[in-house]
Amino acid sequence: MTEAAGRFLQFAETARKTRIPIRIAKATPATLALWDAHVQRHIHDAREFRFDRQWQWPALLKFHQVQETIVGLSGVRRASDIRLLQAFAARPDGNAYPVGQVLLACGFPFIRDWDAPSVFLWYLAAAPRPALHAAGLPPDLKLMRALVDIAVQESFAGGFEGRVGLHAARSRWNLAANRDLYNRYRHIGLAPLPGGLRASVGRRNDRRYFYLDPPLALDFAHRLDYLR
Amino acid sequence: MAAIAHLRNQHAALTPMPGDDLGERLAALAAQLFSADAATRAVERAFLDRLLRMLSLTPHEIHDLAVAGRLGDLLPPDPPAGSSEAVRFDDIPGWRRR
Repeated sequence: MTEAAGRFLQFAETARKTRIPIRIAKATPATLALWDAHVQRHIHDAREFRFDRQWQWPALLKFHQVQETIVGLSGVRRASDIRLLQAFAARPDGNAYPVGQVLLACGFPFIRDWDAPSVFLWYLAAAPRPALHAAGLPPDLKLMRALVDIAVQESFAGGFEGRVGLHAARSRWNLAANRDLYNRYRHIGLAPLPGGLRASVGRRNDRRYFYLDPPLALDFAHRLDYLR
Repeated sequence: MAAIAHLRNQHAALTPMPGDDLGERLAALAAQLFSADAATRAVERAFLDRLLRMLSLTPHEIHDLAVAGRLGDLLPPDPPAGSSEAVRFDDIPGWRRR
């Protein structure tokens, strides 16, 4: 573990290199309601393509919690700890505004080595520009690295040495969106799972899986140290 | 509860595996999820039917369906939204703060 390991970001950066304070917190029904009331409606109404347009976060959280409980009961593997964490910024009036959130499976088998535990990042969403603008926040806030970093820090904190896996969502018809998302994950330093490896039991590797192993995770974390 | 028996029987029909007690364990889980007075039998049965359908999917398949916007028929409806009253940024309890 490095000094940076297990420490969340305290600032998020804009495209103009300005910084605003952020705070990472575990979602509660009240803060999920904030997301639904102030962010999800902008996502639903966005003119551009959004993978998360119809995501129902409370239901997704409940589903994964139930399924992991059943997995644990079945004895197939140890149940992962399902965690929904949010990143908040301060509005000009001092109220908290959720700018992004991630649903994590902590203890999920690592996609490069099924015997090693990791954090699997099931869902990631960032507030769109109109939502940030409406909240009085910089609309050019850069959030993808900051949100993936939550998974990395949880992995360090859980003793998983930074191991993280995720799958880049895929649309059946919007190939440009598929390419864009794939390139964004690569751009921020995630490694694509090689084609010859299976991603998980019963799951075809469609070459859209990404991972951070311990060395990559350290490098990923170090690059964000100036925001911790 | 009748709904629990239904869950056990349906699981046995869907995945018959001699000697497998997964159905029993699912029934135990369902019993934990639903107290006897938590819901009407019809609501329990509807939820468990959906749960059974979900259990035949992997988390990866659920992710694919969520991205495609086709989860609505499978997931239980969102629980009633909590209050979306404003929370002060300074009052947000940071996760793992040192």
